[in-house]
Amino acid sequence: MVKKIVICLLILVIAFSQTACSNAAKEIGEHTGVVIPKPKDGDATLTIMLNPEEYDALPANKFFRDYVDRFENNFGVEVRYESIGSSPGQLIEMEEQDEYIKELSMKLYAKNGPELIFSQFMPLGPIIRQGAAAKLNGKISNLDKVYDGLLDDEIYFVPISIRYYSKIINLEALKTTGMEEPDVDWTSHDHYEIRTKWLNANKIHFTSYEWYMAFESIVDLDKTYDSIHNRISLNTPITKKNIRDIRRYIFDGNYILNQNYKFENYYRMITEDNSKEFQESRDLFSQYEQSGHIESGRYENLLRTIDVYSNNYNYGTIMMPEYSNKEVMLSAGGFAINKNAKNSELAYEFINGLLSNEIQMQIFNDVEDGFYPANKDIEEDIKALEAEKVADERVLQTKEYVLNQIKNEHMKIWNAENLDFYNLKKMIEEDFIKIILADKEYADVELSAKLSELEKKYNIYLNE
Amino acid sequence: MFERLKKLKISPFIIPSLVGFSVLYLVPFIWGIRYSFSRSGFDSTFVGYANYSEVLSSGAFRLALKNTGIFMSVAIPLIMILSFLLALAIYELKPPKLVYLFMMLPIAIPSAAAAGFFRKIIGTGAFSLMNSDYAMLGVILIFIWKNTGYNLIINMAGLLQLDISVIEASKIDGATYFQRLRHVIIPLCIPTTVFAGIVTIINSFKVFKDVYVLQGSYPNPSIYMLQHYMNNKFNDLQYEKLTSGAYIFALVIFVFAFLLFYIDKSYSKRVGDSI
Repeated sequence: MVKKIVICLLILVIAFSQTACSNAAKEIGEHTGVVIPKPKDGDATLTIMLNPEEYDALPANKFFRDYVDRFENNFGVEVRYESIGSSPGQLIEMEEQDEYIKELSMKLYAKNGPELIFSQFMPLGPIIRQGAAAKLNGKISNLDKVYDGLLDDEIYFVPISIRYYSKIINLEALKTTGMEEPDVDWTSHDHYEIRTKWLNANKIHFTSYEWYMAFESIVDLDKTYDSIHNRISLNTPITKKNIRDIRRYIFDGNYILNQNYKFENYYRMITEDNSKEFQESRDLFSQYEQSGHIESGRYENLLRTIDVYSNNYNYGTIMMPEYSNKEVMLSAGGFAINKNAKNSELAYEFINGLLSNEIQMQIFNDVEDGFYPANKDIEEDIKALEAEKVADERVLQTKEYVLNQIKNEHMKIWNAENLDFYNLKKMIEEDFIKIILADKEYADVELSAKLSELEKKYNIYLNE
Repeated sequence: MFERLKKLKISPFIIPSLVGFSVLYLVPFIWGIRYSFSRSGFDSTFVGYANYSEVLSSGAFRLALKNTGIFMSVAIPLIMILSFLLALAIYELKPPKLVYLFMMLPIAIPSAAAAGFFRKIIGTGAFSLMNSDYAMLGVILIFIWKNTGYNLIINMAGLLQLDISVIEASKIDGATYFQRLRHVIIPLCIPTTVFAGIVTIINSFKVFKDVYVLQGSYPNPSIYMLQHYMNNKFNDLQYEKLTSGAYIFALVIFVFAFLLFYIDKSYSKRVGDSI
């Protein structure tokens, strides 16, 4: 009898839990053409989700605030912002980004999640890949205005503005090498030569910055990856040569090395922001920046020629694009739409308005933000403005080179991509620190064994 | 009637625990089946066995299953034999209580501290055991070191419960020590051993913590186990693959558990009811 009572109670609990937790995810019907959106069920809100660090990128901007006010008046809705964790404007650590993505995914799963998800830095790739974002093909008329190279065949993320990160060469420092200014289609090897010549003439301390620059210009991880079979090959003669080259580059006289430093010190200097070694490294680099380091200057969005020209003039630099032998990754401020959103038509119209010529010109005129419009229709208007203010032909040519890349090639947008290979490169770089900066150089057999082991590990990561 | 009323009084004491178990384990276990047949955590489109077939065809999953199988088939019998032998030695020799303490102390040490300890023991740098093809030995060592004490307690309890008269009767019959061990003590300890086996299987999952602290989410491939696979799928929001992999693993565990219960039952028939 007791057993029967207990079993009945258990069944009741399970049955109750099933109904209470039922998934009411609704299907979004086909949306043909743009219609005047009306809020559903009298719910006059449009919610934008963003992480605290990106608060300054959006709601704090005047052009965006003005746009939101107009949108609210035109459609009789309230635009709300929703964030997770910290207060607006507060920085979050890289390690917390995974937590943000998990919390965001829980909100997106709920029936009453936000309509729009804004991203400028946070990687939305996992959310998009898992089907949480609505497919936007044919739903936003102004998508035709966006540069083709910024959109995938299946559109889940709409960039509103883009940033192309520049590299810098300080002209005064370049003169000491006796080398000419590099061409816009320069390679990592060109940069390596410039740096090596400069280091020969100017001995500086080895810092974490120097590690990154050396690694980037000598080690070519893109060549190790087979995208067709989704596999990486590290135990190859080229990789071993790269490792030996970078070790020689660091330890054979280019830098002033701290004689008390062992592998653990270098490891902490590069990977642990709170370590004493990192702090020392940062202080040293700041000193070198002020005294004419080969890459001292102010980094700019290479597409914003007026800012680039001004900075080049003020800091005596030239700004260079990404190496022509490396993949370009852009950063873009943009939106994805929650597949389960209540007011999705409102969300489409919101993005549609942001892509209009008028708003996109405001983005260009917003110096604080430092982004460049994603709208190709206003390109000629921008060129006309630049012609008046930019007197440096090289700056304009560099922008043309970069714009052609965006027009003719499919660009990867960092925050919308599936970042498996990008994350893998970070993991490889960290593992290579242990090999390259080891107290004793690896013999060939040891190096092969180590690279084989890493190869197996990373192929698990890629093919999990 | 009075007996029935007495039995009813017991139920309020077990219902909270049963409800908790149902809500926190049983219901999620059943609910997760739905995820495993959906396209993703956000898209409940039914995809049949696609997720299971993708998981089973994944090289990483097969490697993880193989490594987990190797670990369980070596470490679990080893720890059960070792803990039984240690319990027997303590039962026969009756050493000071300090010996108990040293054997049980590893249970109380946190994973991070244990990992730091083993990092020193097994070595660091290019030639550490954990970075070699024999890394599984390191994992088995960590597991045995941490859990022998726990199994020892269970086996000791089983040995202390043995009916002395049965052992004395066998002595009178002229049985040697090893004959008593083989024909009397071990069969009578089978129920305890089955319980220890189930507990050991559960504890074997916890070795993931130590390996994770030592080697992170993507360790040496020879110690990449099912928990790594599932943890990485969870971090990647791939709940459909996570649940599919978990149910396949659960099936393997159920098989092990039923095997143990079958052994218990068949021995019970031979030696009478369990103690």
